[in-house]
Amino acid sequence: MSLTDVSFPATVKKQFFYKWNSFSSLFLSLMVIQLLGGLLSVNPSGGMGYGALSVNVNIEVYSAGAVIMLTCVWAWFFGFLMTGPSWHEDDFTFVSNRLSSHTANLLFLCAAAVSGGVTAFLWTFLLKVIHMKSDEIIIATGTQFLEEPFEFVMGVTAAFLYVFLSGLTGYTAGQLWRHHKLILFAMLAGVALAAFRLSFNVLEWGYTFYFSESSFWLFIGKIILSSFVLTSIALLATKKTEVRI
Amino acid sequence: MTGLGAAFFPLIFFLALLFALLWIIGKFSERLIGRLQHRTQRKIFYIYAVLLLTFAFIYEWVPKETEAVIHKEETLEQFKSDVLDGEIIPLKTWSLPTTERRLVVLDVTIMYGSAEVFIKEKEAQDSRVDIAYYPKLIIGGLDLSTDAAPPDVHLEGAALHVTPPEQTPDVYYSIFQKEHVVSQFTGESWMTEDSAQSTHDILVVTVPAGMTVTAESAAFLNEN
Repeated sequence: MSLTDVSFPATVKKQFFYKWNSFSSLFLSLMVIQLLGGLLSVNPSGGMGYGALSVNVNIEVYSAGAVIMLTCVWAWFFGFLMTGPSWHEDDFTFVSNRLSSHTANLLFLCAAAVSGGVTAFLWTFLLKVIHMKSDEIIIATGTQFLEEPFEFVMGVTAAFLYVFLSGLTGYTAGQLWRHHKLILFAMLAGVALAAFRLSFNVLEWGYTFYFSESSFWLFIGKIILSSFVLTSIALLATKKTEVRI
Repeated sequence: MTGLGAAFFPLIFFLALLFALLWIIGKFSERLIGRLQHRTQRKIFYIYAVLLLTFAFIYEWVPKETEAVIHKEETLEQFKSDVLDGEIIPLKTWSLPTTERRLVVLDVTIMYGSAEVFIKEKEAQDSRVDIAYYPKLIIGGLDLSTDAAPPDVHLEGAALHVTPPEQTPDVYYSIFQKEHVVSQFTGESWMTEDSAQSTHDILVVTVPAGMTVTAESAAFLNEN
């Protein structure tokens, strides 16, 4: 029994900053991933040619979507890695319980998602600046902070939420993989069965549910709801792992 | 392979490729980045974030000429009315001397098929036929009217020939799509069926008073 009287927020704070100071390399890997996405985005993602009697127009379409997408993938792996043995062992450095450990992990995931989401969105500006140097290229559309501040805030928030959800999915999958492989396989089998037997395409459903949601507030609501479900699964999956064996 | 299987295969392949890539990056990070101190690693990331923010400011503050090409919502009727009210500056004008008392407008329909001709009569008899060319070229929501090459216009006796230009210019545009994380809520899309492409050209031919004009299809503005 510990004689030190510790409060829950103090424990969470300690664990969070311990993770923040110890796992900085993950942020560098984020940088590498985003640089890769940026390199991919330097090339046009689409285009068209239009020939008229008065002009031949060649249009190339650019987007920083690859950076945001790769950041989401990074977040998934990041969330998954957070459930690994080394992270788990580190939690026993402090007088803590599973709840404080999960809270610290989720806060760290949140911080990672903020870093990933914001930097991924900022990449759109870097790409535009790169293309501005070229004489024949004209940038026609895109979000600008000064002209559309709400759009900017909306974009950054949505990027953060996507990255966070992706990370949380990885985290939950990691917890299930570590503690309840059978349940994870059963869930995957259920998805596959639904896809093949009931023609329920989970990818299409996911796309419609999240990516096609046109209301920003409803989108936030969906992410919060999904996060709640995923966190609950992660908590339930680690219910009996309070002590180190 | 079923349709669904075929749809899943590229995704699985992509994820496998990505996993391999992340594994390589992870190993690279361990070997190279792992040697750096945590504080140094964080500093590098902060510098990276500040650099990205700087580029955002650079983009915001550098003057851009691109806004002009974004097509404002305007109907064809509005465009016509603006042209006839003199609110739009023509892309090119011609003032051709003539000794004839009649004019036959030829070949205009060859130009684009959608060209519209308006005939105006001057109050004076100055023996000159004035032609003004107003193009409207919209592609993917961009107003590229100023890029259009004007037609070749010349008078042969009483015949006014309007033919396509000999050389067609090549124009290159790069469009930055609004990021999905924004366009998802604003509903904006670079290429919609409506904004894909539309061409409409207007020629306003102003003739001296009393001149007889014959044209395949033209609107006479001074007719009572």
